[in-house]
Parts: sequence; structure tokens; C-alpha cells
Amino acid sequence: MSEERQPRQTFLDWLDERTGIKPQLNEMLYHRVPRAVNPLDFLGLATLFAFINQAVTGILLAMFYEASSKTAYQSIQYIMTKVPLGWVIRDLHYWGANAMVVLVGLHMVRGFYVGAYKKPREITWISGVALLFITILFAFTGYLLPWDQQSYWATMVGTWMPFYTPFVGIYIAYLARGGAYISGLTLTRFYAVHMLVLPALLLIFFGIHFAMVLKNQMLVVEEAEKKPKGTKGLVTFYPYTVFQMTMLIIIVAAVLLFLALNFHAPLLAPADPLNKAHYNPVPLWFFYSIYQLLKYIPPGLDPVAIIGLPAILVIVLVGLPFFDRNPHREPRRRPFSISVAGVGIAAVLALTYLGATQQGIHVAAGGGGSSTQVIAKPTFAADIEPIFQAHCAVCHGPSTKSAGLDLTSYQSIESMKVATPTDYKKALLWQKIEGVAQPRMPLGGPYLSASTIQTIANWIAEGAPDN
Amino acid sequence: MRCRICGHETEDASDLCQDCAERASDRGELSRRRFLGWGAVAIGGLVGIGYLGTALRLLYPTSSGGGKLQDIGPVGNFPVGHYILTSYTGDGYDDGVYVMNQGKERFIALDFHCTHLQCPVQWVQSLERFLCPCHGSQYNRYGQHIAGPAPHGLFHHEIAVQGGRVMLGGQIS
Repeated sequence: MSEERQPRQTFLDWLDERTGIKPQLNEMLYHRVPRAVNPLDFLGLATLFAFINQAVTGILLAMFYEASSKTAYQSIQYIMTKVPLGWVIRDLHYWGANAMVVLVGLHMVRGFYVGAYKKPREITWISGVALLFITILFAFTGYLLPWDQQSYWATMVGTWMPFYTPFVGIYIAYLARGGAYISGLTLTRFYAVHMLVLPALLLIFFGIHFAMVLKNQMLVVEEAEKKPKGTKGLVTFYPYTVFQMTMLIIIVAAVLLFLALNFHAPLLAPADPLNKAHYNPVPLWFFYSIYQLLKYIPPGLDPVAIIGLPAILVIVLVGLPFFDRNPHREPRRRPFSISVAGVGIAAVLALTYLGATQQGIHVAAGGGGSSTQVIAKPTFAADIEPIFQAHCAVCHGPSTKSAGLDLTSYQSIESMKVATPTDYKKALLWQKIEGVAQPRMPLGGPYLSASTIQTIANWIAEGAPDN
Repeated sequence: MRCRICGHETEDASDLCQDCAERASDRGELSRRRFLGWGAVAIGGLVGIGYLGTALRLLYPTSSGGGKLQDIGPVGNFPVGHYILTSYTGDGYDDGVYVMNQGKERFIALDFHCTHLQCPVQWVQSLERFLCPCHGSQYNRYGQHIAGPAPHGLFHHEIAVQGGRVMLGGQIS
């Protein structure tokens, strides 16, 4: 034996001797899978890629972001305007977050439809449910970080929902906020959870999820192997499926980049605890359904809607593999579970649509009341200055004074003559916010609503008084 | 033979291996084996509870507002019959409060967070109502709940006039 020449030891042999990795690696790379794959079977991979995008862009953002109520908003502006490619990274993170929620949801619906949660894949399903809720918590905690009006007020509402839990509600709400209301303490604890707690939890549950997929293999593979033609039409995972997976990743990456380059993540006015500009709080879009539902719930039944329904949803999702004793996987042979889920999904979609279209104050009769109401005789202190504070002060404030103009100071407005003459169509201020004079203000949008512009026009027409 | 519990080969003709036989004979008495096993679990549990308790003590807010009266300006700043939005500074946060001078040094101070989910309500003079922009709750001019999903009226704040100054205090629940 010793006289014969040993075959040259490769690095893999060396590693295998110490770790015993070779059989696993061979099993993973060369297991046989169907040649024709339904793209929907790749939704899990697409979700994973979206998460990798979040990790990479999130780490980059964390290098510039400052988690304090005094500096968070300015650091986001700094990322958007001063850091090279900072805006792309932020937009990629924003769209990656949305994509992750959508993809996790689709992945789950698909898994439900093909019955992939049934024996022996119960643990794959349950760890997937955990990953869904971790994704939602990621979105919820990340939403506060820019510290603008929508983050502040969405978090105010979101952290008050646990209040309706029997017995311990108020403690959960105060614990989430770090005080009676949202403050800098809320921001730092959300940041810590977003950056440290949730990534750790996600990796743990992803590890379980992935290990179970490897152990029990994907349902499509199992079904392909059972077909009478045996192993015909099967190919090895590497390189055939791996190549298909790469194609999919390129598609997801291209879509994210397209969205990031063309549709920018919003940054509203800085968080204002007194809401002087009458911002209408709205939740994250995937909470629109519950937001809309709460409008229909009569007083007293809120604990049922706010705590009861989500609790039932968690129990149903986690317990699904055990509640559903029907041994069949084909949707045709599962009429009950498929129709219940269909009705549920339709209801959520309908409520989401209504929630997206019915926002803010709507007063049927008597005029007045609308937050987008035109004010006929506005006063500077009560009506006009709050608009400037909310939409203009970031650039035209006392410290920034872009083009020498500070819109929060009446003296500056007067000396710069932007709100004269009383024929408001000739006033530079009106021309800028209307877009008659370019560049239109607020720079880059979102622009002021028609009624807000009219309120400012009315003020100019009154002679732009300091009242 | 094979052990009937763990399935390992047994050393003799018995159908229990040595480990399983020891475990089986443990039942009901505190053997060294059980003591060490449960001891490890108990110590681990105590360390865990210690960390959890420390974390909760650290994270749970020590005060929930309230406290001293704050000067929000002279009585003259508050025209009779009009709601003015002011702010009460709590522990690191600003809390919006609608204050109205009712005349004869009587004031009313209503917390501007809707009692449903704490959205900021708006006082609409033309309707004589507070409207919530989120789920449509409405309150009358005294903050009493009149429509929508809110469970009760707006919270009041302590308010007093001292030496011609309006002094605003914490929320009274």
C-alpha cells in the first residue's frame, strides 16, 4: 500500500477528513430534481435573495444613520443627498423590504395551495410562519427609523394596539415605547431590535427552515420521483437548477434596481409630536386591511378585532398542519381549506383596497373639517407657518436658509419679497409651489396639495399679514 | 440482545442496557443522576430569569408622565372660547394638549391623542368637534366621545391659573 502512489489529496479531501462534509455536499449538489421547474417553486429563494439585499444595504445604511430623535431625520437626508449612491442604497432597502413582505406572502400562499405543509413538512411550515412574523416586525421597526411624520404616527398607533390585550396591555405598550408616548427612547430600542434581535431570530428560524427543506426535500422533487417513469426527466441539482436559480436572482435584482432608480422611498416632514400641519396618520400598506377593519368595529369590540383576530390568525397558521387532517394535497380534493383560505385572502385584499383609498378625515356635510380644507382667511401663526415648518423648513429653515430664505421667519419672508404682490399669481412663493416657476418646490416633491396651495394663495392675497 | 428502550446492544441477556436500567431504577428517588440533570436545568433557568428580570427592569419606563405643573403662558394668550394646541413635556416626549379658556379663570385641557389608538385629533371650530383622522372617532367640545370606535372621551390634563399664568399638568386618567 505504502509503495503505491497516493492519488493527490485535494483541498476537499483535506476538509472532508476533518469535517465529513463530502457526503452532504454531494447529496446537496447532485441530488436529482425535475428538469422543468415551476418558477413558483423558487419563491423561497427569491425571498432569501431579498433578505440578502436587506442585509447588505442595511449594513451600509447603518454606517451613516444616527439613531437619535435629534439626528435620525438629518442623517437620512444626508444619506439621500450627500453620500455617493446613498439614495440608491436607501431606495434598494425600501423596495427590498416591500419585496420581502410580498414574496414571503406569496411563498406562503403557494405552499398552502400545493399542500406543502402536510406531513412530513410541518416544521418547515411552522418555521416559515415564524419567518413571516419576523419579516413583519422588521418592517414595523424599520419604519420608525427615518423619524418622519409617517414613521412617528404609524408607530404611535402600532405600539398602542397591544394596549387592548387583557390585563397586561398597558405594560406591553409602555415597554415597546419606553414611556407613555413615542420618544427618542422608542427610536433607540426599535433600532436595537431591528439591527440585533430580529436578524438573530431570522437566522435561527431560517436555519431550521432550510435544514428541514434539505432533510425532507421539496415537495415537487418528492412528487417527481414518485412518477412511474422513475428517474427519467430528472437532472442533477448542480449545475442545472443552480443555473435556473441564478437567472431568478438576476430577475429579482433587476426588478429591485428598477424600482429603486425610478420610485424613491418617501421622506415626509420631520416627526412633529404636535402634528401642527395636520398630517393624517396611515399605517404601512400591508396593515391597510386591519386599519380599514377597525373603522367598522363598534366601541367595546376593539379588543376582539385588535387582539383576538391576530391571535386567531397566529393559531390557525401555526396549527394548520395539525388542524388540517385531510391527507390529500391536490387542491381539488381539499375544497374546505381552499375555499376558507380563498375567502380570507379575498377579504384581506378588499379591505386593503378600501384602506388605501379611504384615508384621512371625511366629513359628509357641513363643509369644514377636512384636513385638506382650504382656509379662506388664514393667519400666519396658525395656518401658514405650520405648512412652512412641515414642508419647507428642512431647506428654508433658520439654520439652512437655502437661497438666503428662511420661511419660518416672517422677517425673512418679508425682506425677500417672496409673498408679494397681493395678486398671488405674480408672487414667487406661489409660482414655486404651483410649479409655474421651476424648479418646483418642495424640491423633488411630494408637492403641496391643491388646497394647501390655495390656502397660501389666500394668505398672499390678503397681503401676507403677520397675524 | 437489544435494549428495549434505546435499542443499543446490551452486554448480557437482559433486555435493558446498563444506562437504561439505571435510569429505570431512578424513578421516585433523587439519585445522583437525577440531581445533576435537574440541577443543570434549574441553574440554567435561574440565570435566564436573572437576565430577563434585569432586561425588563432596564426597559420598563420608570415614570409615565404626570409630575409638576408647567407654565404655558399668560392667561391673555388664551382667548375665551377658543381651543389652542399647546404641549406638555413629559419624560422625553412632547404631548399635545388642547387648552380652552372658558372665562373667569376656568380652563379645560384635553389630551389630543384619540383614546382609540392615539392618533392626533383635530379641533374643527366649524363643527364644534374634535375629529380623529385615523378611524373616524369624534368628540364634542368637552372631549366627550360621540362617534366612532373610541372607547371613551379624551383624557383631561390638570390645569390651573397661578398668578396670571396658565399652568398645565400631567394627564388625569
